[in-house]
Amino acid sequence: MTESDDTTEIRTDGGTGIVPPDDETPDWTERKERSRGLSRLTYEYFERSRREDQDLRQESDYVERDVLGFPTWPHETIRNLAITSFFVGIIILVAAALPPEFMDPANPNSTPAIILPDWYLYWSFGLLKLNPINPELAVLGGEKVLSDQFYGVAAHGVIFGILALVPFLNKGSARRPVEQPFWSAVGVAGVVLSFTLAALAIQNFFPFELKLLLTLTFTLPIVAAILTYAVLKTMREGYMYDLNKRYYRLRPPK
Amino acid sequence: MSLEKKDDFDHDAWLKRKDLTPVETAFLTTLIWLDKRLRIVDYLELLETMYYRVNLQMPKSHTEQYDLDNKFWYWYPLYSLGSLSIIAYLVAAVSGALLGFYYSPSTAGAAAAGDPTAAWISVESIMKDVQFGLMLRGVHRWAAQFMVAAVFLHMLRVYFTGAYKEPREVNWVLGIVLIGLTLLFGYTGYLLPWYQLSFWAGQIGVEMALATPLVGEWAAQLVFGGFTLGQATLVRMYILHVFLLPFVVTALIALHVGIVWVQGIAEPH
Amino acid sequence: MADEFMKGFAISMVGALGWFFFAGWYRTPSFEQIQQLTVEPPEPNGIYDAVAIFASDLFFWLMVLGPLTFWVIIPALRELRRSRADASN
Repeated sequence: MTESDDTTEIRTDGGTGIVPPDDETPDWTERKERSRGLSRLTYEYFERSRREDQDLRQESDYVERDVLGFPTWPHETIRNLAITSFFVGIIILVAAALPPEFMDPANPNSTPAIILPDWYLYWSFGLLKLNPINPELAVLGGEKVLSDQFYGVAAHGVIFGILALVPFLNKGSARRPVEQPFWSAVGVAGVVLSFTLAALAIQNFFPFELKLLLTLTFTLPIVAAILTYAVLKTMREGYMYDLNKRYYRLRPPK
Repeated sequence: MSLEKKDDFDHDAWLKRKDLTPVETAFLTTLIWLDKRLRIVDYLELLETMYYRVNLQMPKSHTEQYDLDNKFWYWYPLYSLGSLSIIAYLVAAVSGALLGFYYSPSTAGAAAAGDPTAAWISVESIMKDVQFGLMLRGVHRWAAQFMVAAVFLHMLRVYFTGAYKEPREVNWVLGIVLIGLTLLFGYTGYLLPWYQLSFWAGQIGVEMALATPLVGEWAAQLVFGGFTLGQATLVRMYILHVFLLPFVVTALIALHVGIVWVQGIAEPH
Repeated sequence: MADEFMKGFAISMVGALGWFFFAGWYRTPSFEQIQQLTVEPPEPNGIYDAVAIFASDLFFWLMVLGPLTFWVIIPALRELRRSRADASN
């Protein structure tokens, strides 16, 4: 025990850096001992009462266990209850303040001026309006490989495919946006793209030309990505500087 | 020599020694009286054992382990988005089950195009006649909106904190499937009142299906019950919304959470 | 930094919720039209309407200015003070 103190510690946990909580975590008894007033008295009495029964118990299979965890009660339970009731309360509050709309019944003979899905499908509706950029192949004499409509449908497949591939492309142990500027930039581009696609879906709301809107749909995400990359790279310099400073303060170079 | 029992556990003597206030004396006397008869301490011990056993199952969270709480709790809302979407899902399920008592998935009753159908009339009666019907529909609708929003934000959180990496790829892919199903949930629900916009959203769905080569017509038949929208479409959307999707999505959510349980929560290091 | 972020974010969300309510009541004639939440409010019918319309403006600016204060102005002032302190040293 004493001689291994200086040598490198043997990692038996796979090097994750996760160590079991130490014995200093107060257990139930210790916490009770620190309490005051009536609960303290209750505890003292129960301790006496317990000692009274001790000899009766000596042959029982009662096993004292250590607490190797963070208490579910009250910390986790109260926190979860608070968050849940707050969230449900907000839902009910909003539902009470802004009741759902009620529209005209369906009429197959009259197309409404604006057809829109709920807000969360705007990006998908925007994908359906990409037909102006459906490439016409010169080889096929100006024919399109995909019909305009299927072009939009296929775009959905591409989006979901890219999303599903993310964990297989981005490996490594980086966890924070500062540690992975490139992938964070990709993420920001995706978020901005979903917004610009939504803007494309509700194009009637925007007073400028469709062509300009289409251009913006794809340039804005790229601009946002470049900005994010630049900002995170800069932040990473400072972040690494702080880390290094702390490291060398603890272990000064020889 | 007196016949009185004199052991270490003379509680009355202990009480006298303690020099207590009247409140404390009364409390302890009652407690001792009850404990002599009901052995409260045994039950307390049982509870304590159960408490220890239950707590043994709960690993310390990363935040607790490294005492990150003081600099970490601001971000806690971002880490509760997954459970918030489940809560919104449950609220939507309860209010939706209640709405199901009053809704009828039928296009009957429309003599000419544009007339109110049975589905539309039932939604109207929910909103105007049924006690708290307006509130119920409001809660269902807003819970759905909140769920979709929470699911999107949950995905963003997972993406930006790299929580999808190494052992968790499968759960990320499962999450993508769940997002798709959530959107499908929203879409089928949007069609049910058989509004103008419901109808035309359904029309776009049919056109999307028909534009797909090879499987398009088959998919349109399967999902929309034909190439023109009508009774068959509404019933299929209804069955998807209240029968098929709830089972599938609930099962997948259980799997999703189960995998999180097994793998542990990926908090940034 | 996280502290300031969360303060600004919380204020912004409170402002957004309030703006959403009051603008939904007074600045949205119909949910089926393009312009919502930003239409000119009607002439107030009484003191309550006037207060609510004023509240919609108030919450809107809370939503905008709250995060601006905590994310931009306060950090900038802090940086400024620090650089001034560094310069004087």
